[in-house]
Amino acid sequence: MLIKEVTIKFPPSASPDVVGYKLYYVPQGQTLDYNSPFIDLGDPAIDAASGKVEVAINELPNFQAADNVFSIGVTAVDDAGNESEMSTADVTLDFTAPDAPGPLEIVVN
Amino acid sequence: MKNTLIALLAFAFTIAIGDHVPWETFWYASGTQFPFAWDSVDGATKYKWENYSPVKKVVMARGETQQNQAIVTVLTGHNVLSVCACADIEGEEQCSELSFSTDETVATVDTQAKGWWVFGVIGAPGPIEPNT
Repeated sequence: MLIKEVTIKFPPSASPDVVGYKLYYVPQGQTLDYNSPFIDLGDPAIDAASGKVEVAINELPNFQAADNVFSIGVTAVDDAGNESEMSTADVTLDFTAPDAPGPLEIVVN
Repeated sequence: MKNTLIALLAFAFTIAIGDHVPWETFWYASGTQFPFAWDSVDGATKYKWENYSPVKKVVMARGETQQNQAIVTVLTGHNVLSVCACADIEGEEQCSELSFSTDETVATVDTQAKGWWVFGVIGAPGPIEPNT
């Protein structure tokens, strides 16, 4: 079974004192705010070609999410612990592989 | 002997990128840039500007220019701008006292005499691009 990788990209904050980012997430329809579940993304690398931060969601530790449409938000965090406004998006997550094909039958004529 | 040149400050609203609140605080994302402008002073050969944090009590940035404006990068927290005019007098550079953006006797907002400062907040990341 192979689960497709789900990634998000975003341009980094322009602020010079950013030390990391947080990813907030709730099932679509729930309120997404600074009290929502989050994952500390640390200080992820910026892709040199695109100039954007790229994060593989399904590789994040402690990501408590099943198949659903999620509202997600990313904030920048500075060295004093201040958080920026949240950039948001809705993403569809599908971690369930389809059923395997039925048993193979070999027909010998 | 110091010159008594007085530089008048003027905030360039046409390129303002922050939200204006009633107490003359301009909110910008730190790391962004904005034009800091002042009236020219006759005889000045250059201007020296500073970005001062009244909370940290330090000069956070300093620059000089021959123009009557500078492009200033907003830093996190309070940014109080100041400028002085300088001239060569008998082969020696002499500068006026600094004029501060918080001093309503010299600072203006939208041509009205008002003190102002800029508050830099941490900038948000750009729009998220999901790839599902």
